[in-house]
Amino acid sequence: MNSLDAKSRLYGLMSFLVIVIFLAGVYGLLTDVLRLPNAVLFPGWQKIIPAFGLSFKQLLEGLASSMGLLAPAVAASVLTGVAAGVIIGLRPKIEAVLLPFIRAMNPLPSTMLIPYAIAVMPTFWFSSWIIIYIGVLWPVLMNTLHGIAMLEPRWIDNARCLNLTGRHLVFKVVLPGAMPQIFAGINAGLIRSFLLLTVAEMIGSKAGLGYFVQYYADFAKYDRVIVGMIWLSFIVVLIMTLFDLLKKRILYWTKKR
Amino acid sequence: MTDTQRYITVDDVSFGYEANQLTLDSISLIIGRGEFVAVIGPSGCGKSTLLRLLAGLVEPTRGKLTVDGQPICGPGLDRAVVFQDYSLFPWMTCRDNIVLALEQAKLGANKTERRQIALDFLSLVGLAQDGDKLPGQLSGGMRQRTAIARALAINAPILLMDEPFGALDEITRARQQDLLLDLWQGGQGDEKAGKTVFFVTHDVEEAVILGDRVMVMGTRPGRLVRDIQVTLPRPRTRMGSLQHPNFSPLRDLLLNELNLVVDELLLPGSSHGAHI
Amino acid sequence: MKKLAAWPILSALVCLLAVQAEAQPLKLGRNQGGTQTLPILAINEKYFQEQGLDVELVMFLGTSDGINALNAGKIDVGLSFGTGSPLTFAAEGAPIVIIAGNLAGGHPIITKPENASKFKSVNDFKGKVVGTPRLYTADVVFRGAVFRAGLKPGADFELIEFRRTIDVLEAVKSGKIDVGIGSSSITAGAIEAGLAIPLWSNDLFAYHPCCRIITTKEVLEKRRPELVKLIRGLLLAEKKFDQDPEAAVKANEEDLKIDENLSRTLTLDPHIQLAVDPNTKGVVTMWDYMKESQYITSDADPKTFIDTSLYKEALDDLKKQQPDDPFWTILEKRFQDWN
Repeated sequence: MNSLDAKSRLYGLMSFLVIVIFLAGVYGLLTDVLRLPNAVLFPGWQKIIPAFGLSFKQLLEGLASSMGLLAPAVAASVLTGVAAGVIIGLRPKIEAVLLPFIRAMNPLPSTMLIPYAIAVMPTFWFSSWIIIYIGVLWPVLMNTLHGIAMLEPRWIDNARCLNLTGRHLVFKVVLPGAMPQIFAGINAGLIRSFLLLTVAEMIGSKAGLGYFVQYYADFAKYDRVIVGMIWLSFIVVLIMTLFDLLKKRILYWTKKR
Repeated sequence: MTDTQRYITVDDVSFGYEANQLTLDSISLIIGRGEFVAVIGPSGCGKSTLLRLLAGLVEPTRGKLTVDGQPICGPGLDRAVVFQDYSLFPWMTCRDNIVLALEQAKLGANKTERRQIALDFLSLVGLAQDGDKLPGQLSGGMRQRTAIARALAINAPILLMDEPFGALDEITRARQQDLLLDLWQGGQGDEKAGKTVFFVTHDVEEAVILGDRVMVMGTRPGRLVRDIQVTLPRPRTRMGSLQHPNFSPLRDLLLNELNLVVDELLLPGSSHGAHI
Repeated sequence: MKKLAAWPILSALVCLLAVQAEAQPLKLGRNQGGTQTLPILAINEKYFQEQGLDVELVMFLGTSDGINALNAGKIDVGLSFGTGSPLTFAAEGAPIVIIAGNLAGGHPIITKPENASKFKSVNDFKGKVVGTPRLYTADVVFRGAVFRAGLKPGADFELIEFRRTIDVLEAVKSGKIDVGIGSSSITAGAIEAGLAIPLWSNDLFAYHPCCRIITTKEVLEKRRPELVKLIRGLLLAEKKFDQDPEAAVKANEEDLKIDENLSRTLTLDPHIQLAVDPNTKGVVTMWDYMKESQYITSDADPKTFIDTSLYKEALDDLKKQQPDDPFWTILEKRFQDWN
């Protein structure tokens, strides 16, 4: 059973690699071989591959810097988003009052927040931090509220029949029950955080995954931009895969139903 | 009537989610201590609502419910509830579900002891080996046995069961009925262990096999139509009851009552239809 | 026989296509925020129309977006994409050509009023926290100036990079940096916020070229006569501005949708110099600055990215048309000095 699983997983990975190699080949054919006109925007592999070597150290530094920003921001969003979601979600009257505010938070364009972030936060790092924090907070909070609203009514009945209240109710029933939805929110928040990285790293940064791409785009070094984008995609895929593993572990009870 | 005979009282209780549309209308009912009452009726008759009122999950629009002379206000651990499904939290193992209930009921001195009690009750329903499984990994019948084990574990004097076997297949249901009879009858005669059961079902045979009394409910609005004593000897088994000469007449009587109730629904201008 | 008959049809088609191409307006890309006094004035005074030139303005949010659009052939000319960005693109091999100028100088260096007296020359940046908008003209000017003054970022002063000047403005206001390198687009905002402007980019590099009029080699080859018309129109606007600056105040007021006072402040800002001259010498100095601050690693000759012949032709045309006008003689002299 397990070996079959491993086999099909290997097969999936191989298919993925074949597609990647095929796409890379097509791109190489169009740029390196046929030499399409706009060589600045579409550099060939002949330029991209050496650029990767030259950028490697910077990419690693960028990864460290970005993770140093992302991890605390996402962690803070998840903690406060879930906590606020539970506090608000269990009080329908308060939720009704706050919902318009929470909804209004979502479409705020993050680039417009930059001057405010600089003005309000104590340092540039915190200005970058809050851009990501706010961006991730929204999907987490919204999905937590949604998860609580969607809790199976029988679970609540059941909890009431067992006289579960307060802390017990939250940690034994509400949180686990809403967890699938909360994870959907964290998933959306994580994806958003990567998008926001380029915005957040516009503020006085010296390194970072988003900074790297942005910086070389300003200097029209699109070979490095493409290197940066491939590296960023690789990191995103890696992190999302790890996240899926974590999700499977925590939501162990949803798979065999 | 003695206190024992007036253990649970439902006094002129009406319930409606909207003021002018009653789900239950003027229900009055008395259940004695240790009695097994089965409630039967077509869907929409409010039998589950009556159970929720007894559980304290909802409050009546009018009237009063008491247990042992005390009015019911909110759910309590003196009344264990078994729902059709979803009685267990799917993110906890069967044992942990029971341990949580024990914790709430303040039974067992510590975690180890509670785990032991949980295992004891799981063995009682034949699931000694399945304590570490998640509800999602069990069959429907096993889940319901776990729910019953939990209800028994917290040692509540009253069991409220809302179509607990309704979603099970024929054979499994038959086995669960025998198990429930065994467990309940095993406790009777012992003043402390004897449980009062309020059992909602839509299955006529199940009602007769299990109950001391069968209440028939009608719809629109939900009301009590008949209250029939089941004249089958105790202790019972499912097979024994089915083969008893009193069984068929009882079943036919109940089916007839139910038919009348259903007919009223189908025929416009019938007596009850007039004041809806 | 058949072949012979086909020829006239084919040539007629080619002619039709050529006419079609000719009928396309010249698409001019501009950047949001900055003032483009000369092109706007030229449009307002119908100078392009007089020259028989049809133009269309296209707005971009960022200079790289605009230059990429130019490279991809989506627009024909860039009006206000600075000097630094076009040079970096050219250094990367993009077929960008500078054919004329638009403005020079005019970028504020901003600080809180209590610090204003501290900044008198480039040496005063020593030991300060400086915010700069990467690759903006003023950023290149600043980096070149500190390099030549022997100051190293990181060692002699702290340099914090931004991507937009409005963020630099906010960082100065909140006191997170001591001094900020700005751009003409935030001058009004800085004054409004009560900030001081102790220095201008002009003080670090007099008449440094700012927005250049750029095009691509392909457009230059195909639409050269139209580009000369464009420069003629701009030169007429420069003359108009010299004689009647209020006309420019009005043109900007309408274009930027601002009130008259603000338009006058922006348009008549004494630190901004409007000049259509391509200023080869200034551009070469900018290139050197960029190499010194390691923005550019290319060894190309920056003069190969500049084509002054169109400007010369346009100026000669106007001189021929109005031989007695002393303005053109002054510009001719300036051309000789700057190129």
